[in-house]
Amino acid sequence: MLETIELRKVYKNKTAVDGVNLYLDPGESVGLLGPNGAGKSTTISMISTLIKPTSGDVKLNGQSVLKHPRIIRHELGVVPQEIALYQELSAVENLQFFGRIYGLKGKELELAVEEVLELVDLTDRKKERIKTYSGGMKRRINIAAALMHQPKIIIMDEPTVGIDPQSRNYILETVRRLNIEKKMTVLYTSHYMEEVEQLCDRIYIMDHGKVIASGRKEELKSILSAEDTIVLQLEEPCKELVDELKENNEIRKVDVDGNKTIKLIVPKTVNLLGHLFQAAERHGARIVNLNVQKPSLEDVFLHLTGRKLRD
Amino acid sequence: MGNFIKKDILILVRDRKELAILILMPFILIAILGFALGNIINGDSVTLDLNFALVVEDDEASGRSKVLEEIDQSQLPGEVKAQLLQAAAEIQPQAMLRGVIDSEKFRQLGSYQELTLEEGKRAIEQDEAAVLLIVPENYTYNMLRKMLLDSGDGARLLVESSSKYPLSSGIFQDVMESFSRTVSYETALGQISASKGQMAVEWQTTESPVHGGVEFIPSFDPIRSIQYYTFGMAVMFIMYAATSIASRAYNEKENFAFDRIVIAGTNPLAYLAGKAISAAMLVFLQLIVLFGMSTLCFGTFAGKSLEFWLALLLVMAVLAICMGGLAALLTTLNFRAENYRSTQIFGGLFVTLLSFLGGSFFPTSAMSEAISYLGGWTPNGAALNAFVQITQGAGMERYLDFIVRLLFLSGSMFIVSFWLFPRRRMF
Repeated sequence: MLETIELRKVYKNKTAVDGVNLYLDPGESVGLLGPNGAGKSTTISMISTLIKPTSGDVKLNGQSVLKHPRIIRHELGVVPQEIALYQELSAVENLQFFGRIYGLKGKELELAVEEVLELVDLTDRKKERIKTYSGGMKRRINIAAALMHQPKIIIMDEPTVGIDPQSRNYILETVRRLNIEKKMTVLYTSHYMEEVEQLCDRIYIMDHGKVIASGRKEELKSILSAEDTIVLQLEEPCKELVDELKENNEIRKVDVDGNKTIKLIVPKTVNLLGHLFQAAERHGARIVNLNVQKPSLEDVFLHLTGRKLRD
Repeated sequence: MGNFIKKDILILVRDRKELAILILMPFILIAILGFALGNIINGDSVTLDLNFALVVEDDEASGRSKVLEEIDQSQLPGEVKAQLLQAAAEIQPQAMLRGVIDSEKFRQLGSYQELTLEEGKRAIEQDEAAVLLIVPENYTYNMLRKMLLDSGDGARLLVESSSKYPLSSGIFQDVMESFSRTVSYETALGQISASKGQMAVEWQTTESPVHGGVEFIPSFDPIRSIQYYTFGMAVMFIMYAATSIASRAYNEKENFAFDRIVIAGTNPLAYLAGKAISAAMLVFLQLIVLFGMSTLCFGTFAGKSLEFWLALLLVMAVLAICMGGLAALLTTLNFRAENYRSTQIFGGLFVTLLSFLGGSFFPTSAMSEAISYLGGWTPNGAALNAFVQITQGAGMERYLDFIVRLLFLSGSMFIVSFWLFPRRRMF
């Protein structure tokens, strides 16, 4: 349905996106993961015809979007990371404005407004100005505005940033309904790995402008199938123990989370437990908990990029 | 396009802080400046440099001797005649006038040069003097005759003014009218009350003014300070309206609403045109509200003719288009620089500078010729000049030049802004 071919964007001396190839099949929900500066937003902007690529192409049903930008504009809804709404206008006025720029009018516009308000469950507050809404409600109207013209593809750029867990769950549920009930194709970018795991069939991981891994969740996790994740919880933080573990060549990655929790990625073939307890004893550190976990997507990301998703 | 305009105007109208800046603040300033200058006119304080020419055509000695002769030949009782002859010898109408224009207070307002009639006319024509005050032939004779014999229409002073100095002329008119009233009602010599059988000369006020007043040669109507500052503040604060529209446009870019608009297939230049039209409509509305409020509260333009209002509407419309161009230009500069700096600098510095040059705070005629010339080429200055000319009752030929300037400025700003508006986001 939608694909990018060797998409590339260079700003002066900086390559923001470097030969990205990705595709979305109809009705699919695809995640785009990557830390800040990975090139996700630039890729989205090129797909949505906001930025002209330096090279490469975007194709919709085999037709070049570069040559015929209009073909994608009515098929596509974009939910930006920012609240792209007018704070002084009510929800209805905002939705009417965005509906009209897509050529909706009269009864058709009225129906579209009612439908999207119902979808995001804000019909009863539709006449209130956006500035009086909570962060979560603003995010819901932000999504509704992108759905006014009933697009076939929706691109969501971190739509849950900065909101409470309840609103976040509501938005995730809305996205799922759009994908499953309305058969909408979704491209979802997020910093939250669990959101992507929960919503998406396939995932692209981007870093430094490139796609460094892609596939279904299980396929990605299998990258780490030869490794175990050991999570140690200490009674008190111990820098000496961490330093010793980092010097150990048999350990692939050492990640300290909140001073007292140490996450280790080690090959399955290595028996490290005895060594761990001895080292802890040597440095006077008391282990209060130890878990051997299956790798998560977060671990995959850490493994591939050497940093956490939210670094 | 209507969708964009409706949205922009709704947003602005709902922002109370913005409304206070665009409507309330200029209105308060109109009141303060309009009435503060009223006090200046009353002589409490001084801010103007009024330069005028004095032409004396009156022969005081000859006028006096003619009056003395008439008294002498009259049928009045001998004692009354003696009193009147003494009064006629003592009263000096020219000296009374000079007492006013040579007074300390008047000197603080400005200075004058005594010229021949020919030199005086030339000075007015060449805008070298703001006002020409003519003491006409038989001034002394007419005044003494009216004062002492209650005969004739009294004396009149003639005042011609230059259209370049409307405010100075207005002030001069006020001072001269005040002088005329003083002579007529407070210091006029009374007439002999023969009916009471008294022989003494009494001083009394009279309903019929002994001083015939001040005659203004109607080259144009003088402008009142409240009228001047209504225009001055309006042309200043409409620039804030243009700035506000441009600022909000950049808000749209920052929060990605602009991206949404472009994704929907709107040509960015159509978006820019929408901003220009919104600004123009808003400015037109702002001018109507300010002129309307000023007229309702202070009677600023009360009783003006239909012709006046039509001319005013024409200039308002051209000025609004010009402000649309300004809004488009500021929007383009903000979008290109990817920050709010252009509107911040314009609103914080250039509006004040342009207002100063354009004469919003005080008439540019009081400043150097270079500043006055520059001011006439600012959008606010050109509009202010046109408004003043219209209020003075001038024909279109007198303010057409300023309308052409406004159209030229509008065209230039539209061309530059549409040329420079970022296209890299367009396919």
